[in-house]
Amino acid sequence: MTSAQADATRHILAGMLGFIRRYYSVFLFLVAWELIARIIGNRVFLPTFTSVLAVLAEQLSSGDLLTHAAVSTYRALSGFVLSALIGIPLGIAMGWYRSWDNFWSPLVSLSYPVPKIGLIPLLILWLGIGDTAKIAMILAAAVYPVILSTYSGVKGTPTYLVWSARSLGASEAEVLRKIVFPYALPHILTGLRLAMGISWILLFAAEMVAAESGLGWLILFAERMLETPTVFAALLTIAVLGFFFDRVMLMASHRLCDWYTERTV
Amino acid sequence: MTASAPPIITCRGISKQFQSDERSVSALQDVNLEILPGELVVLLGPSGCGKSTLLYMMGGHLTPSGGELRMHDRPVSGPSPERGMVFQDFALFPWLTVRENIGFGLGLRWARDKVDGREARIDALVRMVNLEGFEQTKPSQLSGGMRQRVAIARTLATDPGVVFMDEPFGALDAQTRDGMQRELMRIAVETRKTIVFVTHSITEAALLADRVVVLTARPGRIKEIVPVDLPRQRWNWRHEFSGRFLDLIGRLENLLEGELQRSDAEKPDAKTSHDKRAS
Repeated sequence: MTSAQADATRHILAGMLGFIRRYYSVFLFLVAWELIARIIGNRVFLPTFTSVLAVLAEQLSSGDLLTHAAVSTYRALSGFVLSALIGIPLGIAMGWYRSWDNFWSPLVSLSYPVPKIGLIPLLILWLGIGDTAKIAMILAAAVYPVILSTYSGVKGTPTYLVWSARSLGASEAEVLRKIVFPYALPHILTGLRLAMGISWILLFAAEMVAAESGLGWLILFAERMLETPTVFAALLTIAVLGFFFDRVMLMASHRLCDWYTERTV
Repeated sequence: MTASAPPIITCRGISKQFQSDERSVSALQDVNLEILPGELVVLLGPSGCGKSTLLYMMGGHLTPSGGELRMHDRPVSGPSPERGMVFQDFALFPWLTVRENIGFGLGLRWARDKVDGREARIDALVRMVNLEGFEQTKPSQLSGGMRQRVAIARTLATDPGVVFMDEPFGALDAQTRDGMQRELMRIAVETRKTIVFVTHSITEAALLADRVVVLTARPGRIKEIVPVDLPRQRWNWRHEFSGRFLDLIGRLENLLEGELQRSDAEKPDAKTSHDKRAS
């Protein structure tokens, strides 16, 4: 082995060690799961982690799981992007213009507590059982954290920052673009991160009620077939997808708002 | 500065009331004041006397409840880069670097056609406030004194006709404040800027002012305008003209003393109402 190879190996090992140290609670959990499942010894009641991995590998190679995951990702991200496109401008307008605040705030606070899962029958009635109904439901739930955190970020913009910009000659549009938006951005990104999580949760709920594809549908279908390992394989996929997109959001926050430091899980 | 030059800012019969719930609080009453080109006017008064309010009205951020406020011949109807503002809390944009903060005004639409040599101008300002090497630093990494130097440079970048400063050194420690006062005086001489400076420190007023406007406790009215006949560089007043300097301080102290007692007299009330709430 050359020294360069040795260095590379050491580097990879160090990386793996760091990874394990960071996520050791997850590893402990998986080991516990494996042991308990082996003791119980009932594949339908609780399959072992390794058997779930085997199913996962098999489903991945057949392409089924990937198709379902792709369909689900498309729906979740569509709802998420729409909630950002609607929530951010609306939150800014509500936070900045009194008239928008007066008009929209009562509507938002009244509709916020309505359980969005309860909308599923109505949305199916109005929009059918296709993707539109699912995306609409994600939008209906995910838009709230975006609106509310954008609103409070805008409202919190310190007056003296706005006054400074004004006395340097900033127009109203420039104040909004160059002061209010950057100041609110960390709050907006926090809202988007919440919206991302909500999008996934709502999506699986919608897919479990009315769908012919997607990871939520796969869970329900597998459960009916008493294919518990497939249920777990789908759940694992969801966890990994959700985790991946959350990290993407987190990285975007750190990149865009390095001036703003906030503790995040 | 000549007595015959027309004033830059004219306040005529300015008053201000603040509405809070159903009560109306009078902050300022009948203020008449002219700011002449090139002078450094200090507004001195007990806290809560409305001196900052007066400054914000001259800056165009607050509207007077009564009276007339003009810059040159035009009424003041809102903020303008013609009237720069420096705040006690620096008010830097935390997401921008030192250089971007200083260049903020010059990057706005109004400046695009009017201002030439933007980069060279920013360079010159960075040098003027001694921040070479910190151009790419964010405000959170700077000391208080450095932050206020950035704020001053940012305000000077648009070349305002008059600069308003609201207790700009109030948040700094004593030593930094001394340094900043000297630096401000150097910049004032270098740029020949007209400056209106709010403070509640008698010493600061005596060190900086060409004229001191002494305000009464709330509601603020002009008690007296004290002209200062001392050289602009007063740092070694102890050796050169300590008698005249101490006379000035004494005179300002006398003027303020009654006002401080008046504003102190309000405090027991506040205390009793607070005690009541606690019990």
